[in-house]
Parts: sequence; structure tokens; C-alpha cells
Amino acid sequence: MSGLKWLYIGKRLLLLIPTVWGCATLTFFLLKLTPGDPAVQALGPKASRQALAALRESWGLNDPLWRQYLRFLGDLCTGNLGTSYSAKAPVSELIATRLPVTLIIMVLAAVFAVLIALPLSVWVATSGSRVVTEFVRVLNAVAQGWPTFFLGAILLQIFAIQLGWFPIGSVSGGVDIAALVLPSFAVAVSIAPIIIRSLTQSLQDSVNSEYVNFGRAKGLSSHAVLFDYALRNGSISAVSVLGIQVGFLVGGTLVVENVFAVPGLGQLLMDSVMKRDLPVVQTLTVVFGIIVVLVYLITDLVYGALDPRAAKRG
Amino acid sequence: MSETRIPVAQASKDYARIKLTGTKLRTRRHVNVEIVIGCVLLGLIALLVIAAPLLTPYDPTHQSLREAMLGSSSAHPLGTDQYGRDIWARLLYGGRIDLFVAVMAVFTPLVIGTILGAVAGYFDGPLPTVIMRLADLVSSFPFYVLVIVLVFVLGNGGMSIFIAISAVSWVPYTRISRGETLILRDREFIASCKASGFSDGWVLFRHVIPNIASQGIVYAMSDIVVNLGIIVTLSYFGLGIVPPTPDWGQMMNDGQQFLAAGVYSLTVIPTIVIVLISLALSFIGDGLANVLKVRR
Amino acid sequence: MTAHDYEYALEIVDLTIDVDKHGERVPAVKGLTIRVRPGESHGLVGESGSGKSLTLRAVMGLFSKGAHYRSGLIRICGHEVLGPDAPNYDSSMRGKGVSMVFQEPAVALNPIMKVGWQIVDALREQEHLSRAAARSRAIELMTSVGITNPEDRFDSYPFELSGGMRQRVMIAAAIACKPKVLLCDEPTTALDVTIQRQILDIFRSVADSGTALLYVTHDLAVVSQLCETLSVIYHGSIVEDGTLRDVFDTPQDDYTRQLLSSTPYLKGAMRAATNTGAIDDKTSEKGD
Repeated sequence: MSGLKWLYIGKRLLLLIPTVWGCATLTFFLLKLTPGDPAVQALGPKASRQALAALRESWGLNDPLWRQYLRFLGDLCTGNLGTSYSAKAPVSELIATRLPVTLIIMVLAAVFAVLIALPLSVWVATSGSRVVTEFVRVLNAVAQGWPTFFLGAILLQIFAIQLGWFPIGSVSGGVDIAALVLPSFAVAVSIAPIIIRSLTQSLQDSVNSEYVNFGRAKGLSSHAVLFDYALRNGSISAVSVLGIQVGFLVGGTLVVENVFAVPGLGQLLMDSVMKRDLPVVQTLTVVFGIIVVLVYLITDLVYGALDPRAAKRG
Repeated sequence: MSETRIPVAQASKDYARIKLTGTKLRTRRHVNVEIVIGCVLLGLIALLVIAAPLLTPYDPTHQSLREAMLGSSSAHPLGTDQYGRDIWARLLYGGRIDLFVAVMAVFTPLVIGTILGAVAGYFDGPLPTVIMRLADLVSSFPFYVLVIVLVFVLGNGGMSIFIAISAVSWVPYTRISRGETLILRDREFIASCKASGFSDGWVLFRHVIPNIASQGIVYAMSDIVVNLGIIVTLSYFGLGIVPPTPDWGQMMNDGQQFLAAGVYSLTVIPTIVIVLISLALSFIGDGLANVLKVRR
Repeated sequence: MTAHDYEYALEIVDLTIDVDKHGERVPAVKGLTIRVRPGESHGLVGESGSGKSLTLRAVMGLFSKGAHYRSGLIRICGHEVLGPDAPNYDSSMRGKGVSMVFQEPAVALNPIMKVGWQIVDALREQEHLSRAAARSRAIELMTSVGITNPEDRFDSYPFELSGGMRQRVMIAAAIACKPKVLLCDEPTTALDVTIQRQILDIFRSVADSGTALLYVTHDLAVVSQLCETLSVIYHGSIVEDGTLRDVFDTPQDDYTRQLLSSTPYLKGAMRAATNTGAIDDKTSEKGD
């Protein structure tokens, strides 16, 4: 049984290869459209013509496009991702030190989002009151409407600067998890409305379902019916929604990293875009693509574990 | 010959019925309250923004350092910012570009995505596969990342943002419209249209797309909010609307440094407007969704 | 427990339930009265929309949206669960006092829970059984409702079972706490005839063990095979009730007569039953 499961995961991982290849290809050709000469970007406007020509040659910018493309793919596979213009450091190194920070924020944000969404959804689904429904609806619209950077800035101002409950940004030599709590919370608030909407819907469906009625008829306590029946069924769809929304999770992370000056991938991306640092932007785009695709895979696996019918469907 | 004529009559009758239920809903006695509230609120904001020159005597870009950081007064209803610019004027004028780009960047993907989805759902063969694979590919990047990278390629400014968002956000519309088309394709009246020799293009544009557009439109309501969010976010980070054109994102960025001093209004005022727009659109979206649910 | 301080396991007295229709509240069950003794099977017969399912749901306290209790009372084992003293339904009798078998096991079973645990989860919660004890109780129950290989089936999910098997699972779950009253909402409609007979046999043995059955159906043939007494419901009111023989032989109401005449093969069966005085024997013959 578990052997079969591993085989399935292996198969899914193999299927990632063409997806990642597609991501890399799209990124490569998209960034080829960037105006300006990468050599000038790298060496600055005052560089000599000889230096520029030499750099162009060594980067293979004079080669035909298809050869550059193949080399790009080869470099990606071997992890030779080039050097950042601005930081003068290998791109792989820059990314490796920042990736964990971003992943921690994403995971924390997902957890917070569920912690916010769950009680509110249960409240709406079980109360049946119009006032509660409307209240949460307005709450949703507000949380979805205000920009994440606004909430981030306010949280930063109040809880980190004025009250001093949380440290700010990075501590030298590493990142304090406590400094990631507020940024994660800001992201969580921005994605919670989507989860609340879908979870409320599926909870309402399940609360009114015949199997919940039967659970009651059997003599189960309302507590057991809510948790073992309604919530477990309702959470299945919430998991897939959370998975689909990973793009917004990453987007929110990117924003808050910049607001809180957290040294993660999002801050690196924004920085590199400002400094027009092509090699970093290029690699980061692919990395973000891989993160999303991996989260899709994890979501599918969790979904399969939660819903026995999914396993049957294959 | 007569055999083929019957389905045509049937088809047009079916189609007429679908159109009829649409008009019936619009003239129904019970107008959907949510839609009304949302439209009034949104209309009001749009009106204020459009009529900006009539509502304020100030130039939103006019600096006057002697009048910096004034509180609310009869001359400046919302006060001034650190350059002495009138906040009310900046709010009104700033909304123009933000809302315009947000709406345009929903309209274009809505149209393109719906057509692509209808094509992908209606036809068989390699074309649908190509469209859907491309959609998969685009959706394997986070929305914000791809838009930022596109702005990196295209440069700052309203036009770039519009193109960047449009290039990314057609995907959900394509998926929605393809799903709807797949359901519709098997319905009788489409089959009979095809059987009676109408061209695919005619069937697609006259029968399929009018019937599937509604779901995309509902989605578009929340999409406007998302777009507005990314536009102000980009501007806030200095990647969006180029100064001196006023916009809400820059206003919030300008105001942020004064949060520490306890001056919240500069940041909060544009946010309130954005939240109101989000509220209005969520009302319209929910209202439309309910109306459609009744219709189904 | 044998010496009851109540005559009827289930008493529904003058029950009226309203439903919302076009913005108004109209009565859908009107002054309905049914009494069932311990060990008795009572059939409630009527067409769809006659209010029979609504009555069952009221006994269970499972009002769907738009249904409202207006007046009357329901007692389970002499304990008022719905009535002037308990207008919001007292759910304490669910499980051990009253339980219900639903019409559609496909939707009434939790789709993501192993059937074995669904059978005993309520029992486990009420009696604080250990996992192992609960499991062995479930397997006993599964055997008693005729599920073969109960050890293997325990870990199945509902979607992996056939309709008949699912219905057996639901019956096992409904009787797990040994309820004094078992309500059945057309539980055999979705099944083919052979399975239907086997399921009815299970219900009969449940009744024989002292449980009062209230069996809702539109099918008089099923009633003739299972029940000793019956009520005929029409537009929310009882139009006729009595023992099986009385109602079948000398129907008083026009609607009952229509019902009987639309089930022609009953006549012969009933006459034979009257002659032998054993309905049970007759029905088993009929099935062969």
C-alpha cells in the first residue's frame, strides 16, 4: 500500500520535469524581450567597449538564440545560475540563503490563514443568522480590499515599533522566527477571505447534508457531528482552495518581505527588479514557478489523503 | 430538407427562451438589493473621480511647501501632504488612473479569456490543447511575480501594468469559459445549430459566448479588486504609475513615513476608498452570482 | 427495563408542522396522531409530499430549512422530546431512545469515514468504549445485519459498497445504541426486490427484539410484509388507521380503497394471511 503511494509520488515528481521545463522556457523568452544590453547593465555605463565586448562574448550573447536557450537550460540543470550584477555574488548562493525565510513565511501564513478562517467559517455556517453572515462578508471585503502592504505597515508600526512586541527585520547572522510572525499574519489576513468563502460554502453544504442528519439521528453529540462529519468533509475543499491560492500566498509574501525588510526571495526579487539585475530576476522567476508547482503537488497529495474517493479516481 | 428545418426552429426557440429569462430578470419586480447597493456605491466613487476638476480647485501635483502637512480645513477638506499638495485633489485625480487601469485590465482578459476558453471548449484537436497548456504554464507562476517580471521587461507606467496584468489574468476566464462551453456544447440547441449548417464561428459568437459570459463577469468583479490591489502595490514600491501622475499607491507610500509620528490619515484615506470599492464590487459580484443561481 | 412505565414507545399526538410556501406558513402535517407499542411495527403509508417524511424528521428533531413545529407533542418512551414542554426538541433521546434509517444510504453515510467506525461512533461516544471494544461491537452488528466478511468490510468506505450493503451498514449504525424506537424512511425503495426482502427480514428481527418500528413507505406490499398496524396519511392528515387486517379487509376511507385497488396482488395475499392468521409465513411464501 505504502509502496504504491511512493510510486504515485515518484510518478508525479517525474511529471514535474516538463512543467519546470515549460516555466524555464517561458521565463527565458520573456526576459529576452527586456530592452537594453545586459553587458551594459552589468558593467555600468562607463565601461570600456573592449570590456563590454569581452563580457558579451563570455556570456555567449553573440550566439544564436537557440544556443543561448540550450545553455540556459544546461546551466539551470547544473545549478550554475550566473552572478548577480549588483551583489557580485553567485545567484545560487543568494537564493539559497533566502529561500528558507520565504518558505517559513509561506507556511506560517497558511497556518494563520486557516486559524483565522476556520472559526469564522464555522460561525457563519452554524449560526444561520443573517447578521453574522453579513458581518463576515464585510470583514472579507475589507480584508481583501486593503492592500497587504497597508496592513503590513500598520502592524509593523503598532506591534513592532510602538509596542515592541516583535523584533524587526533580520537579526545579523540569521532570521528570528519572531520577526516573521507579523509579516506572516499580514499575508494570512489577505488570503483568509478566499478560504472563508469556500470553507463556509462547503461547511454549509455539509451541515445541511443527509450524513450530518444521520450522524445526529445516531445520537452523536453536536460537537462530534461538527468536527468528525461537517468539518472533516468541509476541509477537503478548503485544502484545494488553499492550494490553488498559493500564487497569492507567494504574492503576499513578496509584498510583506519588502514592507518588513525581511531578507527573503521576495525582497531579492523586488531589489533585483529595481536594480535591473537580469540573472537574479531570471532565476527567481523559475524558482517561484517551481515553488508553486510543488505546492500544487503537495495539495494533491493531502487531498488524496483526506478524501478516500480521490485515491480511487487516481 | 424539412427535417433539418425543425431543429432550427427548435434551436431559435431555445435560444429565445434563454435570452428571455435574461430580460425577465432585469425587469423583475424584486431587484437584487446587493447589486443596487454595490452599483450605487461604485457609481458614486466613479462619478467623483470622473468629475474631479469640478470638485476641487487644486492641481493634484501642485506643490507648496509652506502649506505642507496641514490638517483638515475649509480650504483643504482632507488636509495636505508633506509637499503641500491637496489630499482631496490627489485622491480624486489618483483614482482616475488606478481605476481606469484596473477596469481595462479586467475587461481585456475577460474578452480574450472568454473567447479562448470558448474556442478551447468548442473545438477538438490540437488548438484547445495548446491553449490549455499555455494556461497551465502561466498559472504555474505566482500572479504577482509574473506581473512584476513583466513590468521589469516593459518598464514602469500605466500601459505596462495594463499589459502585464492582461497577459497573466486571462487564464481563469479561459478555464471558466471552457468549462461552461463543454457543458453547453452537448445541449440540443447547439447541436441543432451545427446540424443545420451554421458555421462554427457564427454558432460560437451568436450562441455559445452570449450564454457563457455571465460566469466570467461574476469573476471579473472580484478581479477588479485584485487588479486595484496590484496596481497600488506596484506604485507603492515605485514600480507602477510614474510620478508626478497622482495615484493611490504613491499617496500611501508618501504617507507611510509619517505613521511613526502618529499621522495615519495620509495612508488610511486612500485605503478607505479602496476598501469601499472592494465592498461595492463584492456586493455586485455576490448579487450577480445569486441572480445566476436562480436562473439555473 | 422490561416493566415499562409507558404503554407506547412512540407517541405522536395531534402534531402540526408548518412549512414555508411562497412566503407563507402553511401546515404540511395537520393534527397527526400515531402511537406505537414496544415491539410493534407500524406502517405509515402515503404518497410523496403527504407529510410522512416530515413527520419522521420531527420525531428525530431534524427540521430542514423552512419547516416549523407548531403544536402537538411527541413522546419517546414517555419522555416528551417535542411539545409544549420542549418546543426546541430535546435531543437527549437520540441514539438510545430513537434512531432512524434514511432512504438514501448513498448520501446518508459520511463519505470519508470507514463504515465500521460509522456504525459504532455514536455508541463509542456514549459508552466511552475503547477502540478494540468498539471494533468488535461493530463486527457483531455487521454480522447481525447480514454483512459477510465484516472484518474486511469494516475498513471500507461507503463508495466501495453496493447499495444493499450500504443500507445494511446504515441499519447497523442506527441500531447500534439499541434504540427503543426505530424510524425507517422508505429504506428499501432504492433496492431490488431480493435485497429488499432481506432488509425487511432484518427489520422484523429488530422489531422482534422489542424495538418499536415506525416504517414510512408508499408501498402497501412492504407494509403487508412487515407491519402489524398501519396509518394512511393523505395531505398531512391520517385518514385511516388500525391493524393490518382491519384496514386491508374493511377500508373506511376512499383514499385507502384507491391505494388498495392500485396494489391488486395484495388482495390475494391478505386473504391467505387472514386464513392462516400468520402474515409472516405468507410473506415468505410470496417472496419465493
